Amino acid sequence: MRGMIDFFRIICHNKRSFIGLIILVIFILMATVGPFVFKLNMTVDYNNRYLTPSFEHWLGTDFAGRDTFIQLVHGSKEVLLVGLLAAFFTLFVGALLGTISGLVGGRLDAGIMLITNLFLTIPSFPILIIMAAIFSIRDPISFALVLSAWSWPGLTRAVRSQIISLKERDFIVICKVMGMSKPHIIFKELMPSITSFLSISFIMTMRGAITGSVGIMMLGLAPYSPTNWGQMLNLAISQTGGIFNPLGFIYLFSPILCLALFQLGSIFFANGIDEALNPRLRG
Amino acid sequence: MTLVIVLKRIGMAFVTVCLATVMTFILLRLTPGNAIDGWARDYATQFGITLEEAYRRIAAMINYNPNEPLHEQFIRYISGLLQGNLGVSMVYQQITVNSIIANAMPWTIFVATISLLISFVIGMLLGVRMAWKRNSILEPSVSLFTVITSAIPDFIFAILLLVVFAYGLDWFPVNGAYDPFVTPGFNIDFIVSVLYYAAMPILTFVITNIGGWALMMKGNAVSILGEDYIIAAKARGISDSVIMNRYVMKNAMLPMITMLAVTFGGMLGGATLIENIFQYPGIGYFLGEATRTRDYTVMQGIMLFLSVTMIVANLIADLVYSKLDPRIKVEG
Amino acid sequence: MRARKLKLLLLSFVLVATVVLNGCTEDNTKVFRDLGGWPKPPLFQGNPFASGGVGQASQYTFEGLFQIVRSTDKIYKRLAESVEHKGNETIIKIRPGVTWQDGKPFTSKDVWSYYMLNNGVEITKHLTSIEIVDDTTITFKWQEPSPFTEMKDLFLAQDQQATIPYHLYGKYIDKVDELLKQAKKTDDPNKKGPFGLEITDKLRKDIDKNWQDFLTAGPKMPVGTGPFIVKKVTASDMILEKNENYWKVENIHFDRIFIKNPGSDSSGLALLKSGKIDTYPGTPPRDILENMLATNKDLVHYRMFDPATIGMVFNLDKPPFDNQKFRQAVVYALDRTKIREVGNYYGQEADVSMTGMPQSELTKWITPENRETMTKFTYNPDKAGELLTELGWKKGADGNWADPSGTTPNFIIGVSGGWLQAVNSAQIAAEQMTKFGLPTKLLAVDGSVYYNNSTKDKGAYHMSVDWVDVSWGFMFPWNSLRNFYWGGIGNMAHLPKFKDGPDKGKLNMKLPGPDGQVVDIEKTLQSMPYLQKDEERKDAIFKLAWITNENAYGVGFFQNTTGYFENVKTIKGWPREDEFEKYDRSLPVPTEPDDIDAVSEINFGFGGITYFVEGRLSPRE
Repeated sequence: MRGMIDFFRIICHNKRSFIGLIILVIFILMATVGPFVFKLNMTVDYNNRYLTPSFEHWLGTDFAGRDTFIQLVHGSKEVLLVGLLAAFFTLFVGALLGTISGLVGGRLDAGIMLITNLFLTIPSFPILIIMAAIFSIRDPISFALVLSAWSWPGLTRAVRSQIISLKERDFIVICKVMGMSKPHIIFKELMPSITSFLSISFIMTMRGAITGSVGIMMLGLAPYSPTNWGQMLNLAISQTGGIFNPLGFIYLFSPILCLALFQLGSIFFANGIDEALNPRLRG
Repeated sequence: MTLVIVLKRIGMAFVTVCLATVMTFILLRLTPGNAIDGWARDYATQFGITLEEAYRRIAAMINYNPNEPLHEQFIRYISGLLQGNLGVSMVYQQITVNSIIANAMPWTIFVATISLLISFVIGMLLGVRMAWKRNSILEPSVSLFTVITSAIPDFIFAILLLVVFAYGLDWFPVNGAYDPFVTPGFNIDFIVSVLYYAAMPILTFVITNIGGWALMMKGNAVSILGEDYIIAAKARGISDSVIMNRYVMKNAMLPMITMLAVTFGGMLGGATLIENIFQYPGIGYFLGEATRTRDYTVMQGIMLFLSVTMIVANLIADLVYSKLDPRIKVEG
Repeated sequence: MRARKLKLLLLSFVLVATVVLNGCTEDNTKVFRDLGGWPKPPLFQGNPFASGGVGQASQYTFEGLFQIVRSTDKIYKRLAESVEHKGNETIIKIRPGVTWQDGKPFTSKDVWSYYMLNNGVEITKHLTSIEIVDDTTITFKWQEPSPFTEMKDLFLAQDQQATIPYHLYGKYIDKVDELLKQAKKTDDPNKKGPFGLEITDKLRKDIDKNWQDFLTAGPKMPVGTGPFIVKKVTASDMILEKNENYWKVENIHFDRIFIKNPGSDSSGLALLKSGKIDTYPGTPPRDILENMLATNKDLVHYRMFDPATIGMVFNLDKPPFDNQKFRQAVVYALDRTKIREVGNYYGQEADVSMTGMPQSELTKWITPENRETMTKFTYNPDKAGELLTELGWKKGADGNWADPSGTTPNFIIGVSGGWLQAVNSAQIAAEQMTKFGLPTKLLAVDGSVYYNNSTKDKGAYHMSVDWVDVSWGFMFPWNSLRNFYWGGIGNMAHLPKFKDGPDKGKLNMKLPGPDGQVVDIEKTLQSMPYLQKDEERKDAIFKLAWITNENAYGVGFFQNTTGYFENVKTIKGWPREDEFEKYDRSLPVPTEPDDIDAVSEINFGFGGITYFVEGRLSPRE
């Protein structure tokens, strides 16, 4: 408990991570409470397309006259949940296998690296098509699992090389000499040193998962959802040619801005985590 | 590092390549669906033949017998491979997979290598500086730059650059790999043209990738900064720039080499952005085209080639890495 | 580190230097700048029949005896000088003095070669033989009964006969000629192949093998008879030069054609906007279109009917879609105005469900009185509700309908994911059905599995979105009707077919027609090309259209409106110049017959390069 309080004290103390925390809280509220507050109506209202922001439509309307902001709110649940879960799975598998592989070495390392390399090289397209033929994704967890299937190997390799370079550093060697337990070395000494690397990877993976979810939808593995941020972006591009329809700019940039803000919040927040977990950086 | 260990590593890489070959082969054969339906419809429209005739004709055009047992297909494929022959395209029957790769690979490698190196180097330099002065304006501005460049789809970025530099200012060509009026070959016109045409794709890639490298580098550099030898170096009065460039940079960069290899491998097959928007005749286009037409021989040929590149890149990264960092023991 | 910095510096220097060194390569010759696609080298080759063909170069290099304009069925004579129908023979005189682009003369033997090798084209099923009379005369002998005269013209006009020069492919042509001579004549309609011959499986195999060999034997660059010759092909550019020996070279006012491969729609639009191309096909979403015209004052946009309707067919193998009334209810429940606004703002809505022919053709072939007898299916949710209630369905408290057994359905619409226009339209349809109380989800699937999923066994979807009511090629409605009943759309609808017996695979559909008499759809379709009298044909067309509409096998969302942007500052000769101001350069679909012809022909997909061959286009000095 004290740890938690300390953690938040540090976060709140650091201006940047405090801002990050606020941004994240807003997004979480948007995804959880938002859909109940704002009712989604996807009926076409062509004459009111591309409206500019107003009290009625906070971010104006899309190419078919539907409220952009409410679409973002309803899309956020799926996007954030799937993104977070996918990033979490990736990070969990990547960090775990990478650490084991880097620390233990030997046969185990060779085995893990073989599997990792195989996954790095096996093409995703045929597998996704095969999966689409067999079943259809209905819940966020399996969606996230599918997305993370191709992102963990890169991370595993990266974590492994981080660990290998760390384990020969002076402070770890000293810890070993002092006879500290393995778990202590891993969780108190090694992990803190790679948290900032991991948090950046987490954020990058999440972004990759959000854009990747569109591809999965378009292969027919998951039902089509026009409020998915990635799909909103896709639609905005096709309706504006990217940049050839000035009326559509707000609609085009809304999901981009949301993605950017969410990532910015995560990065700022990660700064705080870094300092909370890595005592050497404080002061 | 002994020769035995290096050989062991190469052996492992070889095993990976073999497994990847087998799995790619099997997966492709299991993939449902085909390109014939859409193709037949286009063909019927174009040549004024009935749909049934179009189907029949296309079935005849595709050099693939679905009734041939899997193991026979596999043996045929492998025996071809052993002779360095990746087979003939199932759809473009006069073209060998080898010639497709030989034509496309140089372009992809050219753009991927240059853009990767530029973005990597700039990213490293930025990252170290961000870690060094953690409270300066540099850190939040790079973070902001990164989130913006990664949230805006690459596609829009490329179009924006094109609209400004190619369509608006007319400084750069619209697309392509070289001027169509220049004769390809080892002549100065061609070389200049190739560099000129590569500028925009490279720029796009560099801008969209610097941020990620910078942030990851910053993460690594921060943890190095807490090390005793850095503190000791500071105490000894060694100048900041020397500590930053010699000590921090070098040590923080080491683990990134693995990432470099993984990214490079991924870029070769996945540089679809560059290759589509800029009509670059690289491997991404041919892989995409083969996937669209379900040209299994081309697909498996290119995928195998990419696997090998990826595995070799990783092998080199591993070996280079342990060479650069004397503290690391290469374990076999 | 320093060395690397130096290298970087050098590299950037080189890049900047190249910008300065590279001047504009455009010269002052008379150029037309087009855009399009083609297989990139090394995939590119000169045989138009091989995989990928020759892409955008096809219309410029190859031609036929005729040029038919899709959507108007107007036929221009190209390599044919005259046509004479005499009894069951058609005698065609070829223009004398025409040469292939490599200098060899084009003769009737080349036309014969085309039909020997490419013997799967439609016309051969109606011929007994093709005979060379002399170098410029060729005779087509028709089987009895033979199609009506206009149909014969259409069959002849839809082929591109000058694509298989005998002097290049002689080996394969002689081989197939020899193989066809081994086949016996037959009168069994089920065994009848080209030229009334029975092609045994063994023969079929040899013919296919020969075809396959022919495909790999093409020259590096296309050799046609057309006005332009392909000179250079790269991944991004194609350069064509004027064929100085073209038979109508005095009409060709351009020295070169540059074709740019834009890679994406956005790049294409950017090229157009910045004035780097002279033409651009299609009608983008309204706001993009308006932005293009506003920012580049040299552009004019012509819109034209596309004889193609985007719509959705119901899967008859999936209850409750086997029920006619239920299908009708779904059609009534859809507000097609809203679908059209999103799918293609300029498109045309229909008041029928679907008819097997594009809406624009109905007035041409069906009399106003007959048209009145066809049920109107305009948006009417109350009527839809009534129909459902009649069937025993009940609306629950949650607003969802439940079938007589009390279950609320969960419908799936399938669509090919890469086709955004259809995905958007389908999404609105799913939305509307859900709102109406029939919960419906959309699955956008990869194009390579879509058709198979939709047609195999009982089908994976309740509804499939595709081109319905569409006429590829000529317009005589038999074409679009058979496209529905015999083609892929019918398979998506899972139309009833004989499972075995002598008629295996044929339609098992005998349905009451407008006058209450039963119509056998398979037989009616089969007889259509042989109906010699115009009234008979119109009567058959009306019966089939009426039945298709009443049974509501599907719903046409909207008839597509396509279009072309043209740069009127660089190129002159485009139609309707006097109306540019009136419509502020955004010309609606024409209504005057002359305008309809003129506008259809600027569409390369419809009329090929008619504007070039007829000498209408020239560069503005």
